[in-house]
Amino acid sequence: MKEVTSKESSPSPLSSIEHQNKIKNRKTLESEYTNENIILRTLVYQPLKFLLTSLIKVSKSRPRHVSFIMDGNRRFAKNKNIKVEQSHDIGFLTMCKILNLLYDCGVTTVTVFAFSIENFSRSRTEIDNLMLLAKKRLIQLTDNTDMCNKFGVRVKVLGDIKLLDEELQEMVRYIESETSQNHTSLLNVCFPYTGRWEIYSSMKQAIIDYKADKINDITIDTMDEYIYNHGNKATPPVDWSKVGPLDLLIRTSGVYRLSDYQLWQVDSSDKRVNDDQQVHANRMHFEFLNVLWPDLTIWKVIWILIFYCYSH
Amino acid sequence: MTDLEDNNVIAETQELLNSEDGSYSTSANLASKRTDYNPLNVKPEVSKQVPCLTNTKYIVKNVMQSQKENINPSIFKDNGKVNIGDGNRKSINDFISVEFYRLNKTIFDFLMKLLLALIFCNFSVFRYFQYNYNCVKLKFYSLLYNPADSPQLIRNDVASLLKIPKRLAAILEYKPEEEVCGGVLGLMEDASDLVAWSLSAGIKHLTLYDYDGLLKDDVNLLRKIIYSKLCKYFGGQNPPKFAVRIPHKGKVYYNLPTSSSIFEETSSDKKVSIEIVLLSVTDGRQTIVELTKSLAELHKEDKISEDDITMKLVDTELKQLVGEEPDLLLYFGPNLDLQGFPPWHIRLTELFWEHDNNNVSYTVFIRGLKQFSTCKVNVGK
Repeated sequence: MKEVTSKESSPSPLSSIEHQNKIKNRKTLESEYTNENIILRTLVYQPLKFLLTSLIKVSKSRPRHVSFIMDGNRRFAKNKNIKVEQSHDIGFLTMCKILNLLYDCGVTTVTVFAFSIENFSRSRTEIDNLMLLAKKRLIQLTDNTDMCNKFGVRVKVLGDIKLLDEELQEMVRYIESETSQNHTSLLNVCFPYTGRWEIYSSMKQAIIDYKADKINDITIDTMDEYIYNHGNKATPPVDWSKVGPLDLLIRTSGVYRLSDYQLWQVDSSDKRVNDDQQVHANRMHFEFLNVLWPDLTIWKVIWILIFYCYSH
Repeated sequence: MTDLEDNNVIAETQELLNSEDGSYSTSANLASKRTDYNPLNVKPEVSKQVPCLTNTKYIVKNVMQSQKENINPSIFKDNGKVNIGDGNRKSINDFISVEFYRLNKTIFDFLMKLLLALIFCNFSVFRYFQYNYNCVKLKFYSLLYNPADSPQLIRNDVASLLKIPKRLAAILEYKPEEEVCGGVLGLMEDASDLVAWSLSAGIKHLTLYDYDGLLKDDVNLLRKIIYSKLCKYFGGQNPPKFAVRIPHKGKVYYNLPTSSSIFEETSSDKKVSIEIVLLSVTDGRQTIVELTKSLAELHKEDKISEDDITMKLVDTELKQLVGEEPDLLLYFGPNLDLQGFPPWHIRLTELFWEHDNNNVSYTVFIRGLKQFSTCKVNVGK
């Protein structure tokens, strides 16, 4: 990754963050890509959305941890004959909308798969573009006007950030520290991440801690603790409502694979259920959709959420 | 706040108290609510603290007392949300507005729950039709694809596919004895069916997973059942040879259990057409944990250094302990549920299940193979 660092030579990450804050190109983006009728939106869509979200919110069996594999950005670009960067922009917009919706519905944890370690085998220019995009978006996520502070979202970046260039690493640290005071909900951004890497790093951390006599015994619970706390030892008791296992996994673009994503977490047994209640409550639900990620609408997600509430 | 004001407030509220006899009704009457949560409500013998809300100890005592008297001190439950002012007057106003908000919210929530129930009613009708539609679809497919106990037909079905998986995995579910094809025998029957189908389709490695490890417990019975099934498919004279491997115990069994000793097994017996791997929940997370444990012990005794523990080491160890990663995973249930299948081994595995299907059928098998033949794996690209 040294070449990338040399290409993007910025004096300090914080100065660029301030600079980006001034630009706020989220607004322009939205006006550029949305062609919804404004009257229809204010009169029909927004009340309907409000109604449906409050419906999901009162349901007791709503999902608490939703996870996304955002797939199909490049195919979208190919189909619509637009540049790949543009398609990534639209994809990001979709993500924002869906995150807004999910937090409205009372989902506490959302995990999105943004970038896999294996994506580094893509072409250099595309990786550079993606990194630039990530820089812009990470700043927007923590922007004051954005949803982060509205919903009290804590942003966590999962993955091997050592693979990123210096500037991005600095940014990630900055953003994590900025939002660390928010407690309402959690947003995990998997960036550069693979499920095997997650398991492996948790194993390694557990082994190191075992040698340092921090833990006495390694059981499934210890591994759970390490994985759900992103490779760190948790302070007991673990709050499963915050870091709990997956309830709903949504993958777009009609591929029926996990693609190295959340391998450990796709387990049906629910830690959050107490022993006196059902132990093996089957809460995990897979949803493989045939649409490309930028085409995914909030109505589809609402449908999935209501269906989830119904079937549990 | 001056002392004079304070005294006024106390006098006012005591008047209020006397007039209402301190009736603790849980109705939505705001006036009574006001007395309920009034900090001045506390009798001096219970609390000798100065009645001021800035005093947290005082609030706690108030709450405790109201709990004793069976009043819901709900405002104090969601602490942090209600911003209690520094004076009594302000706090009373706050309480009123909070109560208003809570009342509105309860009404709103109730309406929403009603609406949700209505929507769920519609959903159940919708699900009924969807379920029937799926069942009819499956019936239709089962007419279309019928193995009819002959490998030739299966081979014809598979011949049109571009590629077939090298390694196939299937999650089997134990059904209670009362059901059709239930019990351990039903499970083994399903397993032997799968063996016959994949052998006919030309798949060399089959992984069978069941949560409780029932297949593992009685290997000899399983081998007998598989043998008889293969005889049925391929003719009784010379059925194909098979091996059953149990990675957890580290044992391999060849063909039929024979009364004679193991030494008589000739080398020709070890050339098998299909290898069957039996897995259960202990091969999943438990194995990873055990590997971590043994590595941790080694690391503690300084036999291996920190840098020795690499991704590659973990990968090879797990491959040895459990086996290779399957290309296609079939699940014979209504909703995909991995049931603790080894997490390390489903990295790029294609998943397949039929909605609202509840038995091990050839339809699911062949449709899974069809889906696999059209999928394109491009790691990272």
